[in-house]
Formats: sequence, C-alpha cells, structure tokens
Amino acid sequence: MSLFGNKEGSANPFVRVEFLDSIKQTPYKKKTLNPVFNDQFFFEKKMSKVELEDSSIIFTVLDYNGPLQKSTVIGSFELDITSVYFSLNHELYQATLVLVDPEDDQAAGPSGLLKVSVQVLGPDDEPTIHDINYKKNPV
Amino acid sequence: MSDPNSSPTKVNPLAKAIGETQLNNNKVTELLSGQEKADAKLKDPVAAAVIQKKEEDIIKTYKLKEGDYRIQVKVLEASDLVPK
Repeated sequence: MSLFGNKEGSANPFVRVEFLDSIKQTPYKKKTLNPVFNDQFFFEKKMSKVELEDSSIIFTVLDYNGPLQKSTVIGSFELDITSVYFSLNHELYQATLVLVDPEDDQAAGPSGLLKVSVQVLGPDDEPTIHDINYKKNPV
Repeated sequence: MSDPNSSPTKVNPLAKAIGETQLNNNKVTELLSGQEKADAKLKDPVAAAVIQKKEEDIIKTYKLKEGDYRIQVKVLEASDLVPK
C-alpha cells in the first residue's frame, strides 16, 4: 500500500478556494473524513459592478492521492459574491455549505459538509469583529 | 446607564431596538452575529423579530460600488465527507 493510499472510507482531504483567476488551498489532512483546517485566505481585487455581480467563490474539497496521482474531487460548492455582500455585515459567519460532486451525474446526494466564514468588503466597508470567547453551546 | 469607558458614542440603531443603548457598535454587532442571534431568538422571539427587521433595513442600504474589494475566506472544517 502506498504512503498516500486510502483505506476504504478514509481520505486525505484538502480544500481549494477559487476566486476569479486566483486559487488558494489548504494543506491536506491525513486519513480523516472530518478534517479541521482553520486556514485563512485573502483575495484583493479592483472590481466593477458587473464583475462583482458575475463572480463567485468556488470551494472544492479534494482527496490528496500523493505527488504522482491526481487528486480526486469529493465535492464542491459555488458561492455568489453578491449573496455574501448583501448579507448582514457583508459576511457569512461560520456557514455550513453542502457539498456535491460536480463530476458525478449519478450522485445520490451530498458528499459532505464544509464550514466556512466569508466576508466581502468594498470601498468604505469596515470589518466585523466577533467575540472569540463566546460559548457556542451555552446551556 | 452608559459606560464612560466605552468609546464610540455613536449608537447603532439596532442597539435601541433591543434596549441595549449602552452598547457600542462592535458589541451590538457581536450580539447579532451567528450563534448569538439564534440564542437571542430562543430567549426572546419578539426582540428577535425586531432585530431581524432592523437587519433587513440595514441590508437594504447596501450598494455595490466599483472599487477595491477585499475578500476574506476562513476554511474552518469539513465533516461527513464521502470519498470515491
């Protein structure tokens, strides 16, 4: 078995984030189906209104198969920039995206969940600050 | 009573709606975000409805402008992945 070979029911997942002509990605996590990434990326671009209305961020979760083999797609989600901009504070905060495999027409359903935060700030917009000490599940 | 140590004095209109006029803008934003908002809805549905209306009013003021945009993406975690 190769170093990167997956046992059935396991993967070496990583996330690719595409915005226009920029691609960024997380490191892969070894042999897990519930990876924690906590990676942050920034994209900066001068944009016209038309470009904004047409653009989106594509999140793709892939399975890393080693340096000699192509990574396989687990699932992806395309998020419109305008839908984020026209959310409160211009952000989706800890949103859960339902992944589907775009290459598999026979896919029966979701191929996983991806939790992300996205903020789109334009000219004169201020970033939102969240309380990191806030308890997620207060009783 | 307002807190003499809190700096901006300008009060977010949402603060008034929820009777928290002593809070500064950042605090109000925190109060209205994510899980806190869900919690507030459970605790006080009437206040939550007022907050939601105010949020919708704020969103209506947003306008796309040409210029420099900064997009911040945090990839937190994935779960229940189904590999091929």
